[in-house]
Amino acid sequence: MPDLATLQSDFVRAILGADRGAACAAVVGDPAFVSQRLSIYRDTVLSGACDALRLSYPVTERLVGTDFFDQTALAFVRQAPPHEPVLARYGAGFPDFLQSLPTLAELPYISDVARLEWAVDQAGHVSPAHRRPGRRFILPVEAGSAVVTLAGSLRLVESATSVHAIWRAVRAGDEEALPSLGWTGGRQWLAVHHADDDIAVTPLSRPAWTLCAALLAGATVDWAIAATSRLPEPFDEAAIAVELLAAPFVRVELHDPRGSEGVS
Amino acid sequence: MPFPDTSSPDRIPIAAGIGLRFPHHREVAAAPRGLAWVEVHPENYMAGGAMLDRLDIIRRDLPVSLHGVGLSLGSAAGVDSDHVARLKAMIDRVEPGLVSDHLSWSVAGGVYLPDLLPLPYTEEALRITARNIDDVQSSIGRTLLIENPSRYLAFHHTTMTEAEFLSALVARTGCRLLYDINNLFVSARNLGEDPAATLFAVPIDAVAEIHLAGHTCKTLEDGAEVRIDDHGSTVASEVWDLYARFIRRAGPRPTLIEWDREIPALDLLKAEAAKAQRLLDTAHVQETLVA
Repeated sequence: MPDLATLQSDFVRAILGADRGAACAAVVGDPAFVSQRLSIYRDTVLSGACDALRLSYPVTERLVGTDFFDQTALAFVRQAPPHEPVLARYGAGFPDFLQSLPTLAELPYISDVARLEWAVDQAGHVSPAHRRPGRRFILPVEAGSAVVTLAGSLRLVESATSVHAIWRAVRAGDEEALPSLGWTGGRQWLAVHHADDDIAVTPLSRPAWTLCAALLAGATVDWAIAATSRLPEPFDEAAIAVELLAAPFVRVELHDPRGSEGVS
Repeated sequence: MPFPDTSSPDRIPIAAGIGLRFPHHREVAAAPRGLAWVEVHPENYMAGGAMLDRLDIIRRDLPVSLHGVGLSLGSAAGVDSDHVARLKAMIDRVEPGLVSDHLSWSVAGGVYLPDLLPLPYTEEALRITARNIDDVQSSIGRTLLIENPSRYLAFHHTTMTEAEFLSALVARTGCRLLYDINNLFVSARNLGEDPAATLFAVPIDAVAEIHLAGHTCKTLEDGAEVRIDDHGSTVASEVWDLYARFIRRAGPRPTLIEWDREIPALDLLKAEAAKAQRLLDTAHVQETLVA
């Protein structure tokens, strides 16, 4: 008889794959009967993981249809099963998996919508009541310094298609508007963040998005500015500053060495 | 070695509570009266978010129990220290009256399978599970309640009954038991045993909580009937009978109504809890008369 570690490995193979022989051999009863009993566990495992994906990707499910979503989620679960019991964090690789599917090759916006959905879902897990500050850095300004803080919920998404409009239309139940949205055009740079008690998606210019992306990745301010200045777009530092200072996910505290302090 | 019990001051009352799921959060937060206590799966809150904030609000008005599904206490590879740390953080935040998980496993080779998978009841599995329970109890500073699982199959190399296995865990680790009467019934029916015959086989003094839930029947291709513990309906009459028998003899215990699929209106859960409460009240009167 197998030791416990071997038995558990056999069960994982029986549940995620088709190799049931070893697991069935350890179970009392006729092999055909045992296989059906194992299916009860397999069905619970696979439906539990697929349901977790369904909760994170409701717009994607509506775009591709429930049957296709179920088949695709099942294939993804078998290939990349969960690694921890917090299933709300499961499924980060699903958009890439969708992108790899030949059947979706002519519909590239599907994987981009899924990326936006994942960002929205994960931003939602940052508690509104305990909003953690995100990346913080200090900029020298004319009268002292400015402490700039990005929201802890901030996620950034880049898309080659007009995913923001598609996502909004499907969320609003307005699928009839989809054909007019121009699925193949309109590269977008999006910021996903808390706004009041909801999650908001704010379109950014490419330079502002690039600057934020570099800062979120841990770059220094100088490095982030250098990365932004290498874009093909004209580098207009003042325009970027105005755009970001107005963004709801940026908080600025001005520190005046003479003692006064302001917040925007 | 028994672990010192450091339950929170807000202990779970000897009364009937309900499993709290997301669809009922807003309603329970707005009107907690009429509920004695609630139980939640901590894994559903570990990612954070608004639901965790709402649980904080509910906790101000109601005792809360944390009922885990992710410790994987039967894993040969041991428990995941990161997950135990997350559970400890939840305990510190929620200050639950009770903390429980299952006699099962769900992690092997770094893969998490979201189900409560069965253990062979062997000396090796007992040693491993006891070690894992010791590790968790030491890390969280609390006594764990261990729940008997629903089983759909049995292993050739099992050498002891589930009740013997649970008794040994209690003796070795000082853990206590969460006795799921529905699971007892489902397992017994699926494995050709008599649930009434094994009802009192567990160490009844160690039972600190009872679970009740609904199940369904499914006919397999070979014609065999299997009971599926799906928590998607009212408690079966046979399970109510077993529950009444148990608390008449063992005395009343905190009791929970679980419902996880096709979650109904809160009123139906409250009605099931009220049914359990009536049986608890009867058992309490009998206990008082005997005393």
